[in-house]
Amino acid sequence: MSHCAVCGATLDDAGFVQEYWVGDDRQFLCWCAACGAMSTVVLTAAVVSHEPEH
Amino acid sequence: MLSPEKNERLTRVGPGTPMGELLRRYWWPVATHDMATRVPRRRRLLGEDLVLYRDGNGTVGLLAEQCPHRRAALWLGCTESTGLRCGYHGWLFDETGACLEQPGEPADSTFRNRIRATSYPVQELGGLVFAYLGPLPAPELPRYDLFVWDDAWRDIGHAELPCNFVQIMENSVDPYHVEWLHGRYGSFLKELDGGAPVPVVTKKHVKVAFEVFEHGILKRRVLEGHTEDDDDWRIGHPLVFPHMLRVGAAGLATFQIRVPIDDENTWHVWYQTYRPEGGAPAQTDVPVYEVPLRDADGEWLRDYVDGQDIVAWITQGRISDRSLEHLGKSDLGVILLRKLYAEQMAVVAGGGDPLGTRRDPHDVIDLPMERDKFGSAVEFRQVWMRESSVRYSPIRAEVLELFGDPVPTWA
Repeated sequence: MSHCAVCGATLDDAGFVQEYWVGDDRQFLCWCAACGAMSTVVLTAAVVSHEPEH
Repeated sequence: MLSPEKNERLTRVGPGTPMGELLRRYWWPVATHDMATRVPRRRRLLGEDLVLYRDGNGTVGLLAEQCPHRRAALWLGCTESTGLRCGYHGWLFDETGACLEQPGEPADSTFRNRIRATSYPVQELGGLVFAYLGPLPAPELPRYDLFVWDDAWRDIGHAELPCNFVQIMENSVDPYHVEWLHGRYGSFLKELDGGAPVPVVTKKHVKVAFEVFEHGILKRRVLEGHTEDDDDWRIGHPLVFPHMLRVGAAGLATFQIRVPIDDENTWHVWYQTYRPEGGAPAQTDVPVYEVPLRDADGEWLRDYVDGQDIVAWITQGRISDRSLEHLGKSDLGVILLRKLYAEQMAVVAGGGDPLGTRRDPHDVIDLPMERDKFGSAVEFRQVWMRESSVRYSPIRAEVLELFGDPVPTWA
């Protein structure tokens, strides 16, 4: 992660990016020094949905 | 994983670094009361070499180590009724850094008026000497409750630990380590010695929460068999930003203060208070003691809670290489703390006062803390008095008598 998911500002220097894992999902907690937004970006191993009745 | 660049930013405490500039906005314990004497004493804080002294008038001063004259160390000096005289050529400085005398210079010289030693404000509170190394005007010295109670006993343990302060602070927002490092590993060591498992700290964590509040991060937990109505969740206890943990139970409260000596060393202070129901009798002096790190064979002591913590901190390396770590969801408290440091560095870079600094005069800052920690104040005190650094306190026997708790069956 090099840019804020909210405002697009660079997360270099003052910004914060921390990788961690939740099960199979690789996640990044991001904090943007430009807009102040804290976001979590999830790189999912798979997109899982429900199967509707059919 | 944290990038090497972010790790560098998080852990460098010297002048001119983002973290160093943040930390310089706070007052730091630089010594215990017994270190400030007529004999100048070398101290190191935030990567700066300093000399602490108390002159004949009782004024405590903190100067940069090297004399501005020929750069000799000022701990090679003598305290006068006012100020500290360099042992090399006798230049005399007061606590503001003003040069009062230059004995070798002509009597009518005005040279001394253009010379200053680097000096820093100091204040004494609760048996500690606090220093402020940041830009002036300094904020108020926070009068946290444990430092100012007048009806408590105190003792102060301390040790220099060979690691960066952040990995110590991270331990304070890592509740799960309690049931493993102290519960399982601590009990494992006792099993090897034929002893019983350590009680209380073995309880499983069901739920933890962290919230940023005016003093830092408030930490809550629900342990197995407990509910959200218990103090551990309802009240919790704080990491006091940027450098302390408040921990304890009714009558027994501790600040664990993590003072960065430099990037790779931390002065750890265990500031204990003992305040039974109704208060403690007056205490004439605050005992100070060193917490040992190694046993007679040179092995790291780890047969008690604080020893286990210390070894977990220092074995991460002088500065933990966070680019090699693998964090999970149970590390969200650690992540929140790192984010808070980053956020507050930005506040300082923007010219603001960071979290927890006070500009208003105040009497006392009361901090939240559980009465019945892990379900029972008595059971927690029984563990803490035997399994924490308190075991080295010179007044431990008196404190046991002060509380009058029964001797537990497991002891």
